[in-house]
Amino acid sequence: MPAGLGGGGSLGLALETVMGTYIAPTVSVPILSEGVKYTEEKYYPRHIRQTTMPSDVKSGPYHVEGPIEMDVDPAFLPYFMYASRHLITKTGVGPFEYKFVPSNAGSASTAASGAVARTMSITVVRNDVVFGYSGCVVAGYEFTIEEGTLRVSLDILGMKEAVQSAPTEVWQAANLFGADAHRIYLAASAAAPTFGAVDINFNGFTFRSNFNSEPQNRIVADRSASYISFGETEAEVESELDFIDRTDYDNFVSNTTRAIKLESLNGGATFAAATSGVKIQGNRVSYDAYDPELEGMGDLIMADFSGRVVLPVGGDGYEIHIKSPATIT
Amino acid sequence: MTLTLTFDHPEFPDGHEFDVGGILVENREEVEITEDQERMFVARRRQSVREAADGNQFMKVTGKTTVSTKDMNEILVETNTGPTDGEVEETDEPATEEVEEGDV
Repeated sequence: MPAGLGGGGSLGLALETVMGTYIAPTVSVPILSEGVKYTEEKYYPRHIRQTTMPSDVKSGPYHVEGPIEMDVDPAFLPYFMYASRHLITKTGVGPFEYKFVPSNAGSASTAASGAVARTMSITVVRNDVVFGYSGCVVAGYEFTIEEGTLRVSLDILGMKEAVQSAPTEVWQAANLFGADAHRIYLAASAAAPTFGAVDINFNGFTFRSNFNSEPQNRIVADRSASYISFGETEAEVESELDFIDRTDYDNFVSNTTRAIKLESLNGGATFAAATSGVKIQGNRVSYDAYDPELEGMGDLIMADFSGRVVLPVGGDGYEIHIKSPATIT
Repeated sequence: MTLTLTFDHPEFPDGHEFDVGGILVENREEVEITEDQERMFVARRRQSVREAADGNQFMKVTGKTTVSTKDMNEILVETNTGPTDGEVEETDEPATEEVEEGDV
C-alpha cells in the first residue's frame, strides 16, 4: 500500500452496551488530530548471568491512551461527554439539551443505555488500516478558543485494541462555533449563579477537567486493562485578562470565589433560543493566580489568571450544557 | 433502474443531511444514485456502494448497479497505483444481481 496522508484517515465512535466489547462506529467524527495508541509495559528480565543486557522479553499488561483534538461540534460532543465521568440529564424534543456535571464514580461505567455514563469504542483508520479501541473513556478534557473557534482536546484512556473490519464513514455538515459565537459572563459564585452582562476583558478562555484516571490491569489471562479508574477531579479555568482595576486582584487576595460561564451559540442570542450551543460554567471558581505585570513599554497591561473549580454548597462545581441534534438513548 | 440508497440513523432527526462517499442523503429518505455518482463513489472509496453498505448498519442499498465489474476494475486501476482487495476477476456482467426492495 502506498504512503497515505492524515487527511485520508477517519475516526468513528460508538457508545458501548458492554464495557470493553467493541462496537462498530455509529458516527464518524471530524477531528484535527489524534494520537490514540496501544501502550504496553514489556518485561525485560535483568538476570544476572554474566551479561549486562536483558536476556529475554515478555509481553506485559497494556491499555490504550492518547489525545483526540477536534473543533467542537454539538453533533458529536455529547458522545464524548457520555464517555466521561459525568452525571447526565437530557431534555427537549430536538434539538436536545444535555447537561453534564462531574460525578464521583470511581471507575468507568458498565451501563448499557440511558442517560448515564458509558464506555465507547473508537475506530481509527490510518492509511486504510483499521484500529478498533474498546472500553474507552474520556479521562479529561480541555476546551479552548483557538483561531476564534471553540476547540476541545480529549484525553482518551481505553482497555483494549484489536483489528476490526473497515467501517463505511458517513459525514455531516460541520456546525462549529466561530468568533461571533462566544460570550463570557461573571457572577457571584453560587449553586445556580445569576449572570449579568457580558464580560469583555477575557483574552482567551481555557477550561480543563482532569479526572486523574488510570488503567487498572488485574491478574487475569488477558493483558488488556480490566477497567479504567477515576481519581480526584481537578477542574480549572485559565485566561488572560485586561487589567482594568483591582477588583479581580482583590478577589484573588481575599479568596473571593466567582462564577464564570462561557457560552458558544449558533442560531440565537441565548442558550434557550439557540439552535445549537455549548455552555461551560464554573459555579465556584477560586482565584489560584492573578498576576498583572508590566511586561514591556509597548505591551498592554494584562493579568494571567487561573482559577480552580471548587464545590459550592448545594450544587456542582461546574456544568457543561450542549444543545445538539443528536439524541443519545 | 439504478441503485437506491436509504439512510436511517436513529440518533439524528428526519432530514438531517449525511454525506455517504460523496452522495448526499437525508436521514430516513432515499436517493437514487446516478451512474456518475456510483463511479465517483468507487473511485473515492475504492469499493462498490453495496460493499460500503456492509460497513454501515444504517445504510441500505437496493436496485441494480450501473457499474459492471469490468468498469469497476478499470476505475480502481485508473485511480490507484497498487493492487487492492477490491479488484475482482473481469467480466462484462454487472457486479451484482438485481435485488428486491429491502433485500440487502
